[in-house]
Amino acid sequence: MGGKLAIQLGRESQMNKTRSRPAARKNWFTKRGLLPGFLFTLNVLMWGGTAFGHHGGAAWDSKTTITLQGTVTEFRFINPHAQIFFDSKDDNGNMIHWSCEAADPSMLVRQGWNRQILKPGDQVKFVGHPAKSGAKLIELQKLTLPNGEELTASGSGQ
Amino acid sequence: MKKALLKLVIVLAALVYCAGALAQVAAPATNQAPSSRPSGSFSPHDLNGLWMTASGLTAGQQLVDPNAHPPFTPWGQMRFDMSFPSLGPRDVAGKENDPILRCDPDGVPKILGSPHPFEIFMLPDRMLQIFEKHHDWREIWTDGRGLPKDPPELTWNGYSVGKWEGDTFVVDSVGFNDVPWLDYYGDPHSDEMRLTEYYKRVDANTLSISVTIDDPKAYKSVWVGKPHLFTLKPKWALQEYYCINEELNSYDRDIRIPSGVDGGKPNTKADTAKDGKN
Repeated sequence: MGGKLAIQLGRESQMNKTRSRPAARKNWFTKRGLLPGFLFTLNVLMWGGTAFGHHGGAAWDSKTTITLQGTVTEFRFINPHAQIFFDSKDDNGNMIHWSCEAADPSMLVRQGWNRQILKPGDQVKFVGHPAKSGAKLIELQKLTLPNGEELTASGSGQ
Repeated sequence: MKKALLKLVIVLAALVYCAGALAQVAAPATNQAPSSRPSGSFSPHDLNGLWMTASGLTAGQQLVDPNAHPPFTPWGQMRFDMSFPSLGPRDVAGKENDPILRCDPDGVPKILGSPHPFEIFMLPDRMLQIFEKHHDWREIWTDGRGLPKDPPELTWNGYSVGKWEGDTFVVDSVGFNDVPWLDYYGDPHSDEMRLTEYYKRVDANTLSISVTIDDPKAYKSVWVGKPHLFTLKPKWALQEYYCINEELNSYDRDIRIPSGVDGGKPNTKADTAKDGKN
């Protein structure tokens, strides 16, 4: 890999000492070796499955995944995030009202969603990350429709 | 006999080579849609197509790395301290005050790092970029004009001119207002920002964009970003994505704020900063 690219990728080089504007970057990526491919693959791996919320990692416990079987009460297929509200019984038989967010409708359409996939009364399995606060909210990762179809809910559309 | 056969092969190979070269001269690839070309072939000067970020919002994959910003000026530090971002170590759930949370445009360059596709149209006198998010768009003039010395108005996406330097399309922009952030991590920019973008077609399916930020009002030195990769999506089409206040309010009311660390109790500092100006 050319030296110029290696320099550009170095963090220290990003803090130029002066205000002089860098010369136009020529010749980076001209040698298509392993590094660009590695970076691309790494990017995809880091991006895969991530659902961008209007809050990022702070709200959701991304290390914990919960599965809930529930009855849909409302489905909003709107921006900036699709929202689903449902009732689900806890271990003690108490009915709990849950809310969840998914990606935006544009990205969800690319993953097979549409405005009619859910309606009140549908029995659906929800899989997602719970709120760190303990509130009855989840960041949806995927769901299983009454007909058995499984849909992802991430923001990548991949 | 063998020599004659060899000569015939050489002549045929030369004819095929010349025909290919003539075809390239007669029909510049810049006017072709990427999806119409054979897989794997591309023109480095053809940036047309619908592109989707290959990485997303991870700090190290932003157009500028929020972990490596130059030292702030006092003004830049003040604006940074007022920001409550949606990502990164300063993200406090439920307290975010990113301007996009009131339906403001992302602005350039932040929208280029958004996890939504955008489409490039290369026209005779300009490059047109249409962003799915917020149905936003910008023009990058390529007709030889220069940047305005005193932009008549300050805008979210600035005033941009572009030109080819080798196989790199270089875009210079000025005339930004200072409301949007540079990234999702709360880094500010001022109305003195001069943005330079470098577009490079890496291969048939990959576009690389990197930026430099020269903003003496906010940073003590130039901020040089890293190459950010985008993947061509020839089978995708741009969808409608407007930011509608009523919809955003329902999300805030029922999801974002209730999921906060304290269920959405007011944060005086954040609320003060929400509409803060210098």
